[in-house]
Amino acid sequence: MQRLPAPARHSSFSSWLRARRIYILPTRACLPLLAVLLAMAYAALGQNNSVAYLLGFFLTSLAIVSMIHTHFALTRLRLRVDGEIAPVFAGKPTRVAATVENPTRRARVALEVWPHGTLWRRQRRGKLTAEPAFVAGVEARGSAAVELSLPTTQRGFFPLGRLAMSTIYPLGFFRGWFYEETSPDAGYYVYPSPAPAGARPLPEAPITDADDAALAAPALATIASPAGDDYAGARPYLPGDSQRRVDWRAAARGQGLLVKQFVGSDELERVIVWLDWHALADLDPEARLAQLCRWTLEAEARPRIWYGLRLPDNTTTDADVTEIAPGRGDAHLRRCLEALALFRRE
Amino acid sequence: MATSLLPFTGKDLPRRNLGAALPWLLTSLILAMVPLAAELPPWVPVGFVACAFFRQVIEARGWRLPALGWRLGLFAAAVGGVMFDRRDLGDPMTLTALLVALISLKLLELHTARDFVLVALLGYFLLLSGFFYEQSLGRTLFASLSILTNILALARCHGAGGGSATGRTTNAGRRPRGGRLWPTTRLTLTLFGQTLPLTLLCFVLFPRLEGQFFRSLTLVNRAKTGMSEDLSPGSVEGLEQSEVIAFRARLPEGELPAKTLYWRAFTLSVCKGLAWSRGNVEGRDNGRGGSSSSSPSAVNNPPAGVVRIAQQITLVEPHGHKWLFALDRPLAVSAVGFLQHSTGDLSSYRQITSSVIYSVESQPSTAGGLSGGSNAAAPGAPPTLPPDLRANYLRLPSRLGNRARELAKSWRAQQTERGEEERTIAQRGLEFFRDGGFVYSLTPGSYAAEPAQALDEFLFSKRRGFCEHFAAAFGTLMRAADLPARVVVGYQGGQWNPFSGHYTVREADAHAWTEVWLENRGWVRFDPTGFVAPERVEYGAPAYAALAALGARSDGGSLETEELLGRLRQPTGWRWASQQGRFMWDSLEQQWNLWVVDYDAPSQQQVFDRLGLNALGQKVFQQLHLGGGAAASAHREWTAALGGGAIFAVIGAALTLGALAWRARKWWLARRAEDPAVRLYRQFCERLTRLVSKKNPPRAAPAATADFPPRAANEGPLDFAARASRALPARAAQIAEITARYVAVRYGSANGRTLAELRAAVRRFQ
Repeated sequence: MQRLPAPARHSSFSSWLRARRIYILPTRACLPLLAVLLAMAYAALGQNNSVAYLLGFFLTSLAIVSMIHTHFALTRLRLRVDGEIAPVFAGKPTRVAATVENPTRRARVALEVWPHGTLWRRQRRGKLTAEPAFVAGVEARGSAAVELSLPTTQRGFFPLGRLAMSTIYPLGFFRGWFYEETSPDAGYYVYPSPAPAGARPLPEAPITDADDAALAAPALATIASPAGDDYAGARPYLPGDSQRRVDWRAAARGQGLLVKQFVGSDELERVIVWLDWHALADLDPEARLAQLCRWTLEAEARPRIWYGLRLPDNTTTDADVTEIAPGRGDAHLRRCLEALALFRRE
Repeated sequence: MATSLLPFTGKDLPRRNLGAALPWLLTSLILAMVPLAAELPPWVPVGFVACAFFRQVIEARGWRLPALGWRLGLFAAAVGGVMFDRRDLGDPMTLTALLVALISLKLLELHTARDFVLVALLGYFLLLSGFFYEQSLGRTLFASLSILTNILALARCHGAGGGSATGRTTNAGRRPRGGRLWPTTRLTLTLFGQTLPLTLLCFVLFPRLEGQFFRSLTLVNRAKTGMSEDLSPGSVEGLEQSEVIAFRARLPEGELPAKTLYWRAFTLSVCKGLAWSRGNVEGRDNGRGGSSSSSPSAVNNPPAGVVRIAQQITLVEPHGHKWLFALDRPLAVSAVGFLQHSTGDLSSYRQITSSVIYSVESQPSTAGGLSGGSNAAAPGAPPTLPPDLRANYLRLPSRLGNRARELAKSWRAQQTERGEEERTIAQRGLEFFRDGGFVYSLTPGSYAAEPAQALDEFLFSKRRGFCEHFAAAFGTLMRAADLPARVVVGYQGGQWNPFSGHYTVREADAHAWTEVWLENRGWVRFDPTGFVAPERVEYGAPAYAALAALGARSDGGSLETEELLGRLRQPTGWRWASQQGRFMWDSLEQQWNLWVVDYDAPSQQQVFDRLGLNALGQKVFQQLHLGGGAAASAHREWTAALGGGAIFAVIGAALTLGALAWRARKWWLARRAEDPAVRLYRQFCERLTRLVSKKNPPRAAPAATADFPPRAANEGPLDFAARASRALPARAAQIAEITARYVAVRYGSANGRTLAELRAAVRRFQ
C-alpha cells in the first residue's frame, strides 16, 4: 500500500557551457543603417560625389568590422551553472545563479545571458518570457556572477535546457550569441501555487499516535510507555529523521534502516494529520493541489504536527493511492511539495 | 527563423550606458554641424546646440524628458521657421535645415539605445549633406573627427568600457580605475583603423560608371565663385581679396617666371569703352575656325618646333560657367567634351558643376612690351587676320569721347610720320599709362554707368583703377588707333608649390589684359597693369596688396618696401615654416583632388590598367568566350564585374585569412602547451611503428600490424619498450635508452639536460 514516489531528480548539478559555435545576425539597428547607406549610394552615384562614396564604404566597412568584433566578444567565454536551483511556487520567478568565466586576457563587456529561445519567442508573441540577465563586464581572467530570472506559470519539474549568452557589442549593429544544453539533470521544481490561507482549515482530525499508530507506522505501536529518555524500541526510517538516531547496528544486521525511539521525546506528543486528495472532492484537480500545498505549508509551520500526503496514483483514475507517510522537517516538506508538483505531470 | 530575424534588445541596455555615451554623441553631432553652420540660417545651429545642451542637462540632473505636446510644438515651430526662412523646398539647404531640426527634436525624446543608434546614424546624414557643398580634404579630415566621436558614442552606448557593476569580480586586484574612457578610445581607434583599409579597397575597386545618373536631380548647383561673363568696372573687384582657390595647375616642366604666368579664361571682343563684353565676333567663323577638341584651329595651330608647355589643370571650385583655364596660349586640350575656339579660349560643352581635371598644352604667347619683347616674327608663315574679323576687332562704341579718339589718333600719326612698326603705337599707349599719373588701386571709387563716358573719366580725370580698367581702356585706345584689339580675362600669377610641382591660382589672382593684332606677328599680349604696377605682375595680387598697404602707411618708405619684397622673395623663420606648411597642405589637397574627389570611371580604368586587372579580365573573358575581348563594352562590363566581385572576394579572403590565422594560433598554443617530452616520445613511437612495418615485407603487412599494434593509450612506456624490443631486437639498446630518458624526464626529477639528451636520442633513432 505504501509506495515511495519516484526518486527525486538531482536538483544538484554542474554544467559548463562554452562558445563552440557563435551565431551572428543583424539587429534592427541595421534598418536605419541601411537607410543611411542608401542615401549615400544616391549621393555617390547620382551626384558623382567621391567623398560620399568614401563615407558610404566607410560605414559599410565599419559595420563589417564591428561584426567581427562581435564574434570575438564571445569567443572562449564560459558560462557555468552549478549548485542547486531553489524551487518556487508557480507564478514566482525561478532564480538561476550562473557564472560567466573569462579565461582570456581580454576583458569582456555587455553580455546577456538568457534561456535560449525566449528572445525569439518574444518576437512572435509580443512579449518576453524571460528577461535576459545583463552582465556589464568580466575582467580578464576573471568571472562575474549573474542571476537569471525565469518566470514560471505551471507546476512541475522543468529542465533548464539550453542557455544562451549574447552581446550586441561593440556598435549594436549585430547580435552574436551561442547556446548550449545544460546537463540533463539540471532543472527546477515549480510547486503548485498555494491556495489562499484560511480558505479551508487544516483537517485536524487529531489522530494521536496511539490511535493510528498502526496506520502511520506499524512499528510505532509498540511504544507507549511515558517513562524517561529510555530506549523504547525502533521504527522504520522515515525521511527527515535524524541520522544520529538511525540504528546502524540493525542496518548492519540487514534489518533495514530503523530509527531508535526514546520514551519522553516529543515524538510521543505528535499529532498526525493526513492531507488527503479525496477530502477535496468538490474542487478541480489543480485547485485540490493548491489546497494541499497550502495545507502542507501550514502543517509544517505548526509544531508537533506530523503530516502525511495521500494522492491518487499518477494515473488518471483515482483508484490507487500513493501515500507519503507522516513526517515533518525540511526534507519531508520538500518531498511532499515535489510530489504535488509532479502529480500527473509525467 | 524567418520571423526571428533582426533581434534587438538594445532597449534593455542599462540607461547607465546611455548617460555615459550621450555627451559623446552630442559632441559628434555638433562637430558634424560646424561646417554646415555657415550655410544654414543662424538660428538653426543655435537651436541645435541649445537642444543638445538641454538634453545633456536633463541627463545630468535626471529630469524627465519634455512631454509629447512640447516636442510636437517645438517640431512644428522649427519646421515653420525653416519654411518661413527658406520657402523653397527644392533648395538643398532647406532639406538640411529640416534634417537638423529633426535631429534636435529627436534628441529631446532620446531615451532608449534604439533612439541612440538612430540619432548617431542621422549624424552621418549631416556629414553627407556637408559633403554636397564641399569635398575638400580639410572638411573630410574634420568630418573624421565627428566620425570618431560617433563611433566612441555608439561603443559606449553598447557597453564598451563598462565595468563589472552587476558582476562580482574575482580578480579584484585588476579592477581598472578612473573613467574607463581609455578602453573605449582604444576600441574606437581599433575599429577606425581596421575599417580604413577595407574602405580604401572598396573605394578603389568599386566600379565607377560613366556619366552621371539622375542628372535632373542635381541637388546643389555650386556656382558661387569666379568672375562674370562681362568686364565692367567692378566686376573683378570682389575677387581681388578672395583666397578661394580657382584652380591648380601641375607643370611637369617646373616653375616658370612669374611674368609669363598668364592663365587665359576667355576673350572679350565687344568694346563699349571702359567695359567690354564677349559678343559673337569670332562666333561667325565657327565653320572655318577650329571649334573642335580633336584638331586645334588653324589660327592657333603652331608650326613645328614651338615650345609646348604641358599642364594638368584641376578645377577645384566648379564655377558654373563653361570656360576653362590654361596657360596662355592653349594649343590642344586632351579631354572629350571640351572645345577650343579660334580666339584661343577653351571651353566645355556643359556648364561646369563639379570639379574637373584636364590636360592641356600651351605655347608661350608673345608678349609686347616697351623694349619690344621679341622683335622677331614667330617662325613659320606669318599669321593673317581675315578682313571681316579685322573689322570686328576695330569696332568702337559710337559714343566714344573725342578726346580719347584724338589721343589714339595722335599715336597713330606719330607712327606713320616716323615710319615705325605698328608695335610702337602700343608702346606709346603703355607709356601713356606709365607716365600719365595713373595709380593702381583696388578701391578706385565709382565711375559713370555709361562705359564710354566712364572711359573719359578714367583716362583724363580720376586715373585710378586696377587691371580691368587698364586693360579695357588700353584695348579701346588701341582700337581707336586703328589696331585690332581685344581684352582677355583670366588669372595672372599663382603660387608655386615645390612639393607637388603645381601652381595654386586663387580668385585674388584674377586679371585682365589686352591683346593687340600686330602685322606679321599675330595677337600679342600687352598688359598695361604691368606698367602701372609692375609688382602686381611680378609678385602677384596678394603681395601687391601688402605692398600697397605698406606704401599707404609709410608714404612710400622704400626701406620697408624693400624689406617686404625681400621677405616675399626669401621668407625666413616662422614665415618660412608656415609657408612650407601651407605648401605641403596645398599639395596634399591637390593629391586629394586628384585621387579621391576626381576618382571616376577613366581614372579607375587607369588604376586597373596599372594593377594589371584589365588585362587579366580580358584574358578571363576570352577564356570564357564571353566578350571576345575586343569590344570595349565587354571591357567595361568586365570592369564592373571585376570591381564588384573583387570587393566580395577581398572581404571573403580577409575573413578566411583571419579564420585561418585564428586556427593556426590555436594550434600553436596547443602545441606550446604540450609537454615537449611527450611530443618527442610520440615521435619515437611513430618512427618505431614505421620501422617495424618496414622490416616486415609488405605482403606480410597485415600480419605485421597485427603483431605490432601501435602503442595504445593504456600501455605504459616500459611495457611498450619490452614489446618493441621483441619486435626489433637489433634496436633494443636504443629503445631502452629512449624509454629510460623519457621516464626520467616525464616522471622523475629531470632537468633541461635530460630533455636535450632525449631529443638527441630520438633524433638518432631513425
